Amino acid sequence: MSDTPVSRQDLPLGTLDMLILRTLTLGSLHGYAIAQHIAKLSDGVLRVEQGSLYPALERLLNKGWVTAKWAESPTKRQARYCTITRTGRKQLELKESTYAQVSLAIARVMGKA
Amino acid sequence: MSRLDGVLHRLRVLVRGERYADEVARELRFHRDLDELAAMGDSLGNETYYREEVRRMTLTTWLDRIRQDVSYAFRGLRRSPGFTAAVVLTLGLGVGVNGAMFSLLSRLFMLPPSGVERPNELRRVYATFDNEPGQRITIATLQYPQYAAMRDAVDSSIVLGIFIGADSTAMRDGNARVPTMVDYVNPDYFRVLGVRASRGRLFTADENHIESPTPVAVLSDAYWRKAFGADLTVIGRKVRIDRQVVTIVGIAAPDFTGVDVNATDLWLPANTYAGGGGYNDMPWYRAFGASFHVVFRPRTAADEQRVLIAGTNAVRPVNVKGWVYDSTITLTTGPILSALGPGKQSSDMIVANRIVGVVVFVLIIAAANIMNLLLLRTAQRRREIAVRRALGVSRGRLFEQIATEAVILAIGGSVVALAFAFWTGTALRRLILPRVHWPGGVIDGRTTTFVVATSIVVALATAVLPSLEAGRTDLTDSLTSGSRPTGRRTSGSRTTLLVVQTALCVVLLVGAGLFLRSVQNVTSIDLGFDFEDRLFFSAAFDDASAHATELGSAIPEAVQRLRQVDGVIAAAYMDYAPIVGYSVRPVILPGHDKLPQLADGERGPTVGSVSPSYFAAVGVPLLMGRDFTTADSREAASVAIVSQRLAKLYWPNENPLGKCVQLGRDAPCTRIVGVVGDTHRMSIIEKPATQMYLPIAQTTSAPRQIAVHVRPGREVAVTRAADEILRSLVTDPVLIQARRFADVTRRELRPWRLGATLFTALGILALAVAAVGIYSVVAYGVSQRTHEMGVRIALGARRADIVDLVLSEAVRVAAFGAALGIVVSLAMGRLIASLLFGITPANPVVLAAAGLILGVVAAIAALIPAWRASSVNPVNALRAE
Repeated sequence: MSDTPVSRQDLPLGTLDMLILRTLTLGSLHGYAIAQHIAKLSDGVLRVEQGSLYPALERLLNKGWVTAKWAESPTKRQARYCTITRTGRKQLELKESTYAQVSLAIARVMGKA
Repeated sequence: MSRLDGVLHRLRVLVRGERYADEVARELRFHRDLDELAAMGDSLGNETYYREEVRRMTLTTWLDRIRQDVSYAFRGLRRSPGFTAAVVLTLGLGVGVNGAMFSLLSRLFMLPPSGVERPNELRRVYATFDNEPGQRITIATLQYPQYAAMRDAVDSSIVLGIFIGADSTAMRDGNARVPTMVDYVNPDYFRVLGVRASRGRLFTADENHIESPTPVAVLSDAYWRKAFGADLTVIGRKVRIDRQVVTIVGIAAPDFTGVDVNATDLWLPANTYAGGGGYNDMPWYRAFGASFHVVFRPRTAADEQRVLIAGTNAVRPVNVKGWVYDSTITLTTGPILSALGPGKQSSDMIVANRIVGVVVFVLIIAAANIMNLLLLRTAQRRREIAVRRALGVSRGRLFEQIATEAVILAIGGSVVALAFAFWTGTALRRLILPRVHWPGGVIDGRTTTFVVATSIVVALATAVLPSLEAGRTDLTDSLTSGSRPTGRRTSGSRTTLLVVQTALCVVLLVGAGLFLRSVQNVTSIDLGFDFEDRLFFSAAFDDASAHATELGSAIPEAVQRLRQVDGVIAAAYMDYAPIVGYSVRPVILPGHDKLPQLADGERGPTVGSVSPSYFAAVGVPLLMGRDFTTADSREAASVAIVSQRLAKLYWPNENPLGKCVQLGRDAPCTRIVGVVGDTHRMSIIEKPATQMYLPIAQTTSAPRQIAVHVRPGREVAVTRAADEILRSLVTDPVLIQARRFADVTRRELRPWRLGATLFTALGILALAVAAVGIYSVVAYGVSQRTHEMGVRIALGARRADIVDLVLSEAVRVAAFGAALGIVVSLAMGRLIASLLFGITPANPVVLAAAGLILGVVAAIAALIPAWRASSVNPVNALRAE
């Protein structure tokens, strides 16, 4: 079964925020670019739907982890660019370390099974 | 800052509303267009869904949640009206009394004098010097010669305003007599304070010459309205203040009532000052006499320093006749609010300060009580909370709900508190500081803010512990049917709170006890007189000296006629009424170089010039010999009566009758014909003194006062008769004064009476709150132990055993609290020690009584639930599960 092609996967709950924050550490990006970046880095496995991306961004905006600003995109169109804040970075660190612990634990369990 | 970013974002969404949704839609379109460009049109989101999502996450849900919490809280509170009432009432009383105190103190410590220009720039001058060697004191006044030296020394651009401070006297306008607060000031006083006249004028430079009195007066606006009905023709009118006729020249701007809290009604130029002071033939303004407050307005700090240095250098060499100042006298400055200055505070102010501590105690007791009630409520709702938690209500949400409930209770409490603060504040104003000018009502914006904020803080603070308790609720345990709460921790914190409450309550009761005992001690001091049914009469004139001869014959005649009046037991006349004044004369005891002195008493005897029956009239017992008679006339041999203490001091172990003293060198012998009881000379609390009495006919003293001993109930009739008799005997008296002897000492008793009243009232309040606390905790404990009680009764426990069981627990808590309270009282005793008389804070009787009262109240509060527990029907109790 290991050669079954990996299809589009739904993200585990809570990881989307982490992925968005991680992506934003590259710089200010608009929503589309964030989705593209996540898809590209995961070889198309992780696909972020608009229906979850924008609510997630809104959530991050509400928490103050991200700020947004309308600006001109390279294609001369107006787009909303998101930037990670200092609290956002701190939260990302926290999430990353938790994630690292959890995924290590899962790997161990799976490895021993 | 990031958290702020989040808040700002929410706000933006809130404010922009639909436009924000449009923005979002635009963003989505952008995304879709790019998607299409990438030929991946299958990941389209739903615009409407997204709009809804955005909205859900921001304001509406938030408002919704609040609405839910509020209605939930209201439902809960309506279900337990007893709890709600107890919390609202406790909070209201505790915060209310603090609000009243706040309103009072904010006037004294925070509000600058009204009607004064930029009051914060003004500085008040203080003088620091050695009152006695090693005893350095700071006072807020200078003697006039000191002020004059300072004024001449400082830069001419510095204006020094001076005032004595409002004192009560009477203003007479025609036949009307109006109690009036009068102050003496210089013209610069108004200038430095920036006060203008609203009508007429203020004092001019002509009224600055201290040697030549200029009898003019300026009225305060409030007084002009009150005493003259805002009559515009009042300017130019002549009225009488004390013994001088003054012309009203102006009315000060509205709101201005002087610098200090005692409101001034009428200002006179300092040169008209006629009260006391002076030294030999020197006028008062050259000697020790009137004390003036000095205020000025420095432009800079350096300016202020220059004034102080020049002032200090000028004041040091001044020789104030009649008083010796040490050469290190130094001037300093303080703020214009005298309550904040370095000087000594009046005893009323000290009492007010102590009361602050006491009302904070009441608030702590109330807070402890509320926390207890909230803990009980949480315990009662364990199952409900557990169900909600099991259904997925987050802990944060639970806290939110408890906080909402607290805020609603706080709002209810604030309403009660404001009403209570209004009531107590009005009473406190009248009781503590009756003479202070209060520009606003008791409840102003500041007090309201204070009351509401304090209520909310107290309610939220007291909700912390209960909400932690609620968050800790163990689901399985609480949901298991029939389980009884095992929360040892909860009941532990409840007991701790109860102990704190009862301890503080005992501290207040101890304070009340100490003040009550002080009042008792002070009032039981024997002044040597009998104050019951004794009256004094005198006649006041514009110019008393012009009537001296007339009075010399009129007063003895009046006394003769008064003795015929029905209801008069004894009547006499004298130069000065006792306690009010006394005179001294050189006394020589033949065979002694110096007069013998009492070990720690007053120096030298006071000399009273009195008529026959004086001792009967004022209630001083005649111990040996005889009273004066009409035979002791100017021509007869000079005689004297002495007090017992004087007799023992001058002629120890000898019979004083017939002994000789000389009134002045080479004076003939004055024989002692009688010995009377010792009396106080000026006040309730004073060192022992010696007295000598001479027949007024044999002295140069003029009769001034009439003393009458009346039969009980005849006071009014005799007063009317005395008024008639005196008016018929003297020409044109301004008024006939009648005073009760007992009133003379009333003013002196004030600080103790005040302390006793306030401590007792607050002690009772605290006791009531503590009783509610004990009752609710015991009642709850009993309701939780119905099952246990049922078992006990089923096994044969008698009612008395059950009552005993419940009571002993409550009494144990109370006893512990009382013990703690007594320890705290002992530690805090020194704070009020200076306000007590004849009792130390560590008085075992008072401490024990306070503990006992608390114990009894605790037992009574616990008795009702104990009784209820004992009447549990075992069958019902056991079946209930």
